[in-house]
Amino acid sequence: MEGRKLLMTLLEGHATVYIKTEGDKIVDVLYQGVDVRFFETFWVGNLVDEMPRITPMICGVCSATHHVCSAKAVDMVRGVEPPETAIRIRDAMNYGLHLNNQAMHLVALGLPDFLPPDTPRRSLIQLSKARPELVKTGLELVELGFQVVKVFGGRDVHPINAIAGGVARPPNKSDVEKLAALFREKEATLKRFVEEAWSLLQENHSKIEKYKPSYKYMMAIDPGKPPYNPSHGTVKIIDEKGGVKTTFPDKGPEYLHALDEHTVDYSYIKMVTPKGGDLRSDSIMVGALARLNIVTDYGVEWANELRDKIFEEWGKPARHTLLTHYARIVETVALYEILKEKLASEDYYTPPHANPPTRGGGEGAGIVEAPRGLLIHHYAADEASRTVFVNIITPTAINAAAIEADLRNHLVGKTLTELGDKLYAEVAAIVRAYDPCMSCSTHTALQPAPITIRIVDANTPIKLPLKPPRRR
Amino acid sequence: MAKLTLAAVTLTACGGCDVQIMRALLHPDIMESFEIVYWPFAVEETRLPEKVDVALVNGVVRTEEDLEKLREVRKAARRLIVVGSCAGFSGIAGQADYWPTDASLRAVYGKPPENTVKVLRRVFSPADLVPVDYIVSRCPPLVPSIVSALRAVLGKTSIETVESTVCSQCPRRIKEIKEIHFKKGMPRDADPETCFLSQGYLCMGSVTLVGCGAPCTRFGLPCFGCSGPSHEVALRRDSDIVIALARKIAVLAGLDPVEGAETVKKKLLETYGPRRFYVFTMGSEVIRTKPNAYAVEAAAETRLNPELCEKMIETRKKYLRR
Amino acid sequence: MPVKPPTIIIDYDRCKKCLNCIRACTAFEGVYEKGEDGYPKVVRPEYCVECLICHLVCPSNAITHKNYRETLVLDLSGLPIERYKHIV
Repeated sequence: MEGRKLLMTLLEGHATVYIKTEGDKIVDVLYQGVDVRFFETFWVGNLVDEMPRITPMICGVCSATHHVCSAKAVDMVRGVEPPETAIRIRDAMNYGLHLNNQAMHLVALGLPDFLPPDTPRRSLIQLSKARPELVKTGLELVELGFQVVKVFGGRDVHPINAIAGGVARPPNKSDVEKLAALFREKEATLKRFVEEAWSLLQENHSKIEKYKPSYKYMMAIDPGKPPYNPSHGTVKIIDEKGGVKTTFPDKGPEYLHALDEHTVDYSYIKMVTPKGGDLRSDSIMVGALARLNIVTDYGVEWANELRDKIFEEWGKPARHTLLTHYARIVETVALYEILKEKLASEDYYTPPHANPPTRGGGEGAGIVEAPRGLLIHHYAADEASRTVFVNIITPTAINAAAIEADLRNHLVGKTLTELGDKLYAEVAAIVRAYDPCMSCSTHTALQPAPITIRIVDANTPIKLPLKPPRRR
Repeated sequence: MAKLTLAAVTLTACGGCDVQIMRALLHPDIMESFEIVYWPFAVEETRLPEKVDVALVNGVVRTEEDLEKLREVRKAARRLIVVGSCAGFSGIAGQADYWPTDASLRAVYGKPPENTVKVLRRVFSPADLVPVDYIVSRCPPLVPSIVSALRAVLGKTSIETVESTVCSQCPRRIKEIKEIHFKKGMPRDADPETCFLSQGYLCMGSVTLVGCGAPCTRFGLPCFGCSGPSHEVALRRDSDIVIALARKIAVLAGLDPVEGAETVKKKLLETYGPRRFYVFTMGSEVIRTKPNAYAVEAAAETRLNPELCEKMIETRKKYLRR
Repeated sequence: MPVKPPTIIIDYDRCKKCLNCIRACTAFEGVYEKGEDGYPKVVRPEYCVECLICHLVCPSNAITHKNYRETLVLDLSGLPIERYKHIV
């Protein structure tokens, strides 16, 4: 048996890519998540009202999205519609988090991948040597996103403000005004960031071209009308041609009629396909690129222009996996401009901020867009408001099948010799484009650390050696 | 001065600590003094070196792989700093111990995956398993705390341990309690100026480590206890979260601190159940080994009633079957 | 036996004016009294019987006793104490 293990990096959590070989030839690729934390069982028996405080801890990177999504589900469980003001505050939280994450992914996780592969320890730090402006402006946007979450959510990581029926407290007026002023000031930063990031990607078109897509569907929330809003709308699944396959509402358990969850025996990720779909052929991609194709109008001219540029060059729907990096730039622009406008004009202070719940418990589900794609929280509670059921589907769980499909398409049939040292970089490029968040995806699991690549013989069952080998 | 080498290791965690570590490392003086040699979250380097000067560990030990990794990093590191509630006191991940691990696995996966990393039977916090030099608690850990721990390693500043509770930073006024009566749920109609305990809501502030600046109570939500137990609770063998809290409430209500506390404790446990007091500390040995603690009792609830587990699994199936 | 009464220090930065210390004090006359500004004051330290109940009922750990009897064994295992020396 050939045993080789490469550790992959620049993503949240731990995942393993298994490459099965017959002799020298690659015959199959499996994508494995290994962290387990049991978020879907451990709060059973406790108050469902507390879910929005617990679920952000599923993922520290996109905690605010989990918070908002959880609040949306709890609203439905408790039979209450949040007031307008509360919805605006929650939306602002989600906008801020998206801005933070898209910028953070670009500077810290995604773009270092476009540095020459022979750079030692490719990272944010190396990127800042090659492109100091890009990193500096990017990190400013990251902090800006954190500020928005902090003002509206109470804390920058793991926010607390949203409760069943609304929010606990309106933001401080002076804080919001300061933020609005900050957004006006940093316009130039954004411009510089977009230029730098865009040009870096422009230089690497051959790399983007190299990774052909082979996932089948794309799924995202379509807000219907501008401006772009990741928190409300109708979920749409489109096929390779861009035709709509299924739609379902962003609230309620109807998603169960459209999606299937599959337990696989080699991973703690429960992979997702459309109803009745096959794991190997019917994979769904979610995330920034899916949104790029499904959202009709960002409501920001600049963002729409950038998007049309992508469509011109790569066709519509744009499907090359690595185009996600472009899509993230487009979204950064859209989110920044929308936030700038909203912070300056929107009213977050008119009471009420929360409506009282009308029932002890029932069933409810909330669906929002996380930075990495569609996020579903589905709860049920009994009359005494005790949680009896929790199901959470995270973007990376949905993407897992798509990652596998892309990896298979790119690697199966090639030989290890021909790939040689490039193997690691090639797998990493695909996996990083999806920005998998392993903490989230391994449902019950927390995320472990890096991606590991293991190469095994086709006849050997996959088994973790008791003591994993530590060297390449 | 030569740069110190730094490795950041994530066990089973949420990534929030990684984000905070990143923000801490971006401080110019820290960036100048440390060279990052291993950090899967942000640096493309697959091998943990055999010797590093400082290691930052976050997350809980949940799988066999985590255990291996933790041993490896402890062996390699001259100074080991654990970051976050998970690493210090098992954090939110410790809640999973309420259900037996195989019941949870069955509930979520039906048939648990076999060809993958093995999940341990319970959650451990790294601070319970290996000796650590510093704990930066809280969920999420605060950037200034991580920075001050790193500066302390550099020998630039001395470091003071925190020994007060969240109450000392909370702006709410404590008033006497008229009648011992506890309310469940979120405090929607609570007075924004008065202490939650005085109003009959469960707030963990008085038994929780300080440092966060009490954002939750400022936002009208009671403290959840994310920093872990305060000095007094953790150090005294006769103390525990529930009894310490009950004692404070009892005296606020003008009762005797010993006998009154017993009555209050009974009432607290009746209203909220033992598990609610250990949201962030359930898997911690510091709490579990206390003779008066209820963490083990909470976990025993499901172990003594296997029907509870079956019911949970059945309910899950029912809702997912459409 | 020491005749000197213990020095009792209240950290007024932390004190929440809940007056739990006054209510719980086991000394006959009571060591603490409410001051004009609403904060508890140490007025009769010589009556202190060193039961340290005030430490336990204080919600913010604001009270410190100095030079009190030192035979008190707080922890047998020593493990948590070691750990708490280094909490940041």
